[in-house]
Amino acid sequence: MEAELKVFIREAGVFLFMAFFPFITSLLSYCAGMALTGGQVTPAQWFYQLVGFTVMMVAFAMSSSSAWYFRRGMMTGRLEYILASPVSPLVAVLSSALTNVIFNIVYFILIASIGLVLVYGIGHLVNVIGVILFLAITLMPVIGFNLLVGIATIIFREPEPVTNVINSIVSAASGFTYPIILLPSFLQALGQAMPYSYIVNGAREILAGSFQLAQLSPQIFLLGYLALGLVFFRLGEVAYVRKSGVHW
Amino acid sequence: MNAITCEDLRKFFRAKVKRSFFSREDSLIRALDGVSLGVERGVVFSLVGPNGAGKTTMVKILSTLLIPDGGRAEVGGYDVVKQANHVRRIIGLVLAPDKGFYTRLTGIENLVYYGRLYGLSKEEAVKKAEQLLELTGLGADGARLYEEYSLGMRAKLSIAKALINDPEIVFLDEPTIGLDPLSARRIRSLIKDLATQGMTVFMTSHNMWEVEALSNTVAVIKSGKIVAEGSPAELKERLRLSYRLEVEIIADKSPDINFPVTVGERGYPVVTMETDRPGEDLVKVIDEVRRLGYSVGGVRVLEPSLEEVLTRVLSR
Ligand SMILES: Nc1ncnc2c1ncn2[C@@H]1O[C@H](COP(=O)(O)OP(=O)(O)OP(=O)(O)O)[C@@H](O)[C@H]1O
Ligand SMILES: [Mg+2]
Repeated sequence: MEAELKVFIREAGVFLFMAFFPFITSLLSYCAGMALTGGQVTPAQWFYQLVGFTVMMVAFAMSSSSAWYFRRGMMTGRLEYILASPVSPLVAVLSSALTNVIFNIVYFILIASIGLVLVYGIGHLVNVIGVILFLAITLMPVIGFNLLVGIATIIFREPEPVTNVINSIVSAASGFTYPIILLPSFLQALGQAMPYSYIVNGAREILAGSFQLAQLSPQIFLLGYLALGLVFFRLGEVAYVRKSGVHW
Repeated sequence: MNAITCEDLRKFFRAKVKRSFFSREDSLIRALDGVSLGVERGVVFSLVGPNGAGKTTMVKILSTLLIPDGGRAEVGGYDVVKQANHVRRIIGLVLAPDKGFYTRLTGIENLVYYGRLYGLSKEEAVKKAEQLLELTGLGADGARLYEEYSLGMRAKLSIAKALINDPEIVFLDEPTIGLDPLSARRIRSLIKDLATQGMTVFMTSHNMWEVEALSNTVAVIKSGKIVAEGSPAELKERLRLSYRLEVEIIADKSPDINFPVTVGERGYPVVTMETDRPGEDLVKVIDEVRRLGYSVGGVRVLEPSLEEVLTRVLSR
């Protein structure tokens, strides 16, 4: 896990690009909104977009991290060495996923704080603490997704087809840049069944200071994704051993 | 008790052979076809054989990476399938000497990472990693990024990685491939030292000279079957490999002598013969040369090499 963190930190260039991206896109859509509505767009709406884009980046990174972990492991021969060690691959990939959660929370907080100060002033910065806790909990179901994609990568060898499908569904249905009530009903249902729309809305409300703890309780069902992910990961492992004769 | 035992080990792969865009045929490859062998503790055991013979497959089964399709194997007294986790704790492994590490981490960080996988604490892992860097001759290069490493440095790091958990048994698949002569020698003496300290080394190599210098036991594998096994000396003996005798005669033209004669590098005639008794035959040849009144320019007795053993065994 330390190793993973160090790797992340050494990729500072990519990090900077990732940090700029939500600012640029949200600014673009803010300006476009300004032009279209003749200046009726508020900074709060820019903030809405900023948070949306950032969570989207986090969601993409999170949904494919295990997949890439395995893929890189296969390409570099690291995976075989892990398999030949006493550590189970599930533990290894989970620690990599948790590293990702930490990294992504830091990433989100950085961007959100800048936006928060610009739009609401320094005073709202305390809300950031709430968001850290909120994300730490709500990103857990995403780890479930993450494991699903991971084991699919082991079985089918290439992560892209799976991650591309998941990412496009997620980005369409999760209300990153517009409320999901605007969506056709089946996409809405899909969006509500997945954890991302709750994450993005919750994060927005906490930061703006209008979040109630009671809102969290119906979302407990989302933790089922984590359980589901773990179960399918195990099933996938068994299937893979049968198919390939690899001692997983 | 043996460090490694296997009985009738089998592993098949389904190879997809493309006939055309739409049709393909599945053919069965017998990567291991009934391998039985035993490796004593504290010896260097080498598995040699042509490309695709099944050496890597063997290493992967014994190091719990592949499940055999038949037969059974024990490493350190544990079954490689049913007690894989016990096996994993007591083995070290090098698969490809230039792979298996985080490129964006330094050598020592990579070693510490693997140390942690084997349950070492951070401090223990750092200490062990530093020792191993010294031992393999990487030393100060341990602080450099892996992506900058040369092939030889990578190979050394792989071996250091294989030793991070103080294993009882190490599996080395072609550990000295691509190393310069000095580095290769260093690794070889390291392998020898490990064995004298009681570690069991199971290695594969295509360098017969190296195998001969290092191994207590050699097994030759061909198409998934062991075709010969024994110490290098035993193998030569069993195949009745003969010595090669060369006696150079200082003369302008081929003398009238009762032995086969060729022309040597210096242009002089050279008596060249294969023999099982090099001492006796050498004296005979020299006596004959003297009797004819010539002087002897030089003498060479060539021992049969393991390479010849391999050539013979494989061409049968
Ligand atoms: N994953 C796999 N799928 C299909 N066939 C495989 C697989 N791995 C190995 N084989 C086949 O099994 C046979 C033995 O391969 P192996 O890698 O054990 O040979 P090797 O003795 O290590 O050869 P080399 O000297 O080239 O390293 C080969 O015919 C190879 O094509
Ligand atoms: Mg091989």
